[in-house]
Amino acid sequence: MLFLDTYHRPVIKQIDAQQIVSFHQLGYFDTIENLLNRLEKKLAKIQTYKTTKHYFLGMFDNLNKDLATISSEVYQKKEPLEKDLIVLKRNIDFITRMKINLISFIKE
Amino acid sequence: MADSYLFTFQYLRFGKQFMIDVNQEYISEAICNLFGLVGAKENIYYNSLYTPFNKGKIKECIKEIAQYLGLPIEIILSYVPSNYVPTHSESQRFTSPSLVATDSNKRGRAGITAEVYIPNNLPLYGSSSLKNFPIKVKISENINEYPDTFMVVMAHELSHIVLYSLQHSKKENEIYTDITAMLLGFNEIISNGRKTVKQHEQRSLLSTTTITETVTYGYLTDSNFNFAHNKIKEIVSQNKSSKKISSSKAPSYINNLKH
Repeated sequence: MLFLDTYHRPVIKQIDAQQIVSFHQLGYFDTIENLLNRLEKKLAKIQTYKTTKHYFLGMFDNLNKDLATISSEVYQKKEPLEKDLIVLKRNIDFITRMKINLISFIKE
Repeated sequence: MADSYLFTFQYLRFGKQFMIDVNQEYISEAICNLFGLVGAKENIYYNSLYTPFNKGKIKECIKEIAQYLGLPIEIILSYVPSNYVPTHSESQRFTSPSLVATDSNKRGRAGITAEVYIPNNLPLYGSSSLKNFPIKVKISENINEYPDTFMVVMAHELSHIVLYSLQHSKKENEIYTDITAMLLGFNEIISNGRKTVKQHEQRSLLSTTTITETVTYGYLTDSNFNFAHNKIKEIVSQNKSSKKISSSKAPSYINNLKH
């Protein structure tokens, strides 16, 4: 977002502009961040469980259920987020976009 | 001994004299109840017990058994002669049949002795006060002759402490005690050490007869033991595979996040 704010195209379509404004609204990233935090916590739990040799009733049932729920939430959020990212990408100015592409090409 | 009572357990059993025959539903219920309370552990590594045992570090070995059972206690170990017959004073709350096979004079002639004293002020399971809490253990001098039996007996005896520190309603129940040890990582050790087979020859003028003597330790009958053994094995393996599934799914969740 910060990147786009600095290196945006000189002219932005009205529809895109409205969408970009909506990204700046309060709480837009909150749900995504919360989701990621929850997922990170559960993944950290898996890491600690990885080495355990002591099992308790329902230990993995709850964990796997939670992970499945969060995963489906991530999946649901992913599609609109990807569309938003397309809007963001296409409104970055041409030279910057080329630079990004070149850097990612070299990295690959 | 004024503030404590003695739990004496004499473990060598002949035939099915001391076995308690209950149905498999009872065993199932006990496993469910105890799994809900103490969970289930993967089997303890043999070497972690046999290495100190073979080096003569018996206290270390008992401590290791206790640790695996979730008891970070301090062991105060003392030895008794192999023909030791436990004496029971009024302050002793529990007396069990003889650990050692006794002759007509009540003198031990085979087997080993293990006694664990359970004090009245035993802290709760999992509490910090249990750390280094002193527990007196008496064992007979001849334990080196029966390493497998020794592990089985100690796991059983210390499981009484687990149930006592949980203030479990079945803390005096021998079947629950056996199952506690099995759930907490001694399933295989008990399976391997619960039976000892001894052979000796009886010679006469005309023939030589080989006599095989099988001694079974523990309170579970063979069929109940096998049932409990398999059920606990299943619980542990189910949890192990759930752990694998969780671990294998983790990268896909992370990848989902990255892309």
